[in-house]
Amino acid sequence: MEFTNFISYFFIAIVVVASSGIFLTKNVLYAALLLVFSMLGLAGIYVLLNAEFVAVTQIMIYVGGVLVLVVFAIMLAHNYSGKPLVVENNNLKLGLFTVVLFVGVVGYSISGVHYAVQKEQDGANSVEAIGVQLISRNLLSFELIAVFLLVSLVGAIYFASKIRKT
Amino acid sequence: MNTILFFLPFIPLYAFLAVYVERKLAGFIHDRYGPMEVGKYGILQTIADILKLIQKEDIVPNAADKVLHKTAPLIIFVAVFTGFSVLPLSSGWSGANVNVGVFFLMAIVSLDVVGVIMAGWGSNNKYSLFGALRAVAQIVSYEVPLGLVILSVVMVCQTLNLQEMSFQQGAFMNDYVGLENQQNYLFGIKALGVNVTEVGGILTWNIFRSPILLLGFVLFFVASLAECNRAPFDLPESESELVGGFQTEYAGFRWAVIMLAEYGLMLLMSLLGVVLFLGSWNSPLPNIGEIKLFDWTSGTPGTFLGNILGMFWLLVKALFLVSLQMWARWIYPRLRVDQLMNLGWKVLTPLGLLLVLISGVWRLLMVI
Repeated sequence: MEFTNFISYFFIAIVVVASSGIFLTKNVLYAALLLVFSMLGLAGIYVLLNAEFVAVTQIMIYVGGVLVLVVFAIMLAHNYSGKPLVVENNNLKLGLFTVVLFVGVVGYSISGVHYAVQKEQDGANSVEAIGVQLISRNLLSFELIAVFLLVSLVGAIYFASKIRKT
Repeated sequence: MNTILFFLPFIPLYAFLAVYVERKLAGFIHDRYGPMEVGKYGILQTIADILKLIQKEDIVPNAADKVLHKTAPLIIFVAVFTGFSVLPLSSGWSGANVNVGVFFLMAIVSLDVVGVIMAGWGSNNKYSLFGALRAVAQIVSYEVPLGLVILSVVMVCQTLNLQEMSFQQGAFMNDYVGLENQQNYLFGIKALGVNVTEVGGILTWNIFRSPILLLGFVLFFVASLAECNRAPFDLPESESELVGGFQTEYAGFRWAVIMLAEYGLMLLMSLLGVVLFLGSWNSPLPNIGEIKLFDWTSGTPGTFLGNILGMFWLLVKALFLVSLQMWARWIYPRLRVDQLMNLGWKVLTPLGLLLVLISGVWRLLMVI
């Protein structure tokens, strides 16, 4: 148990350091790459909470997909001048207010939750449980998400073809 | 058990031999000898190359982003090496036996691109940047057909666990906890009534359990070539147009690490292909009546002999696929970028969708 705690703090440290790096650095590309490390640390925490499937989905979706696209966008915005794309700090007061509000609301809502690693679920096949839940209890939301994805795909193709014609 | 004890020394040794074999193979395909000077029949050529690479100056361009440039090869190699942790080696040596094995491997392969893009952008060189952009576009596109093919295998096997998949593809299936009452039928069709559970061998491989997966294997092989940035999909490093693509600015040992990762990824994808389609660590020889070829060539699961023979079959099949990848490199010309995208989105992806549909029907045949 001691060792598990140690690993858990290690992952938490990765997330905290990487996330702090995101707002401390002014180079947008560094921020995007630090986001990968933040996501990987989060995935590690999910594994420790017996949520392997969520952890791998986290890596798959965020690191593999979204991040690659983020880096893509940055590189296309980058004008090849040789200087890295930097951001400036604007709206400091409003930003600080939002941060305090956000931390307050989230902190209040999770302060009552008791975190304990549920050992009895160890070894249970969480993938199977997720599959059964998705297709029985949460079928409607599952299907709705599928329709939304299809709509966004068709929309993207429509816009892409429109640009080509004009 | 920790398969890292096996893979850590094996990958450098394999890469060392694979570079030599690739150069020899290229030579034979071009009707020449390949390396002949260093050692008997040129066998020590790679050692000479490694000595040269280690001695070379570690050049970091002045205008490059130093941090990204230096860490990129490490990220690339670590991402590839992590993938090996979930692969089973034999019946008794299963690696990290996680329930999301295949899914994890797919995520890891896409993590590799982060290193490539760091290398390409950090070098501050237009050739490198073009190479990295091509790598991202290529790997994101080819992950779709790859994912669909893997999904159809998962539908047939009903598991994401690589070791459970391996047990399903041989005569030891009922030894695995959770599969005690499962039966394998010829071509996966229960209605035919030919029970091949005890026969094992090639008849229980996934390409036989659900023959449509033979097409799946071809799709998987093409997509894996693209994922490994191997010819005919080696656009990220196309030597003749981009100098060296994302690795243009690397020299010496850092370049060697990138090459090691490339060969490692070839082995990783080949091992995954073997586990998914070609019976994993199971022997290809079936039991024919009293002639128990499968039992003779696979030992007892869990024993020393069983482990050695399992590893032997797994590696023989995987290394055969690696040599197929090399073979493809030297006989096909490189695709253009638009041809690459056409193949990925207009041929492989529709075929992958069709495969998922047919695999679903086939799974029904396997239980009805």
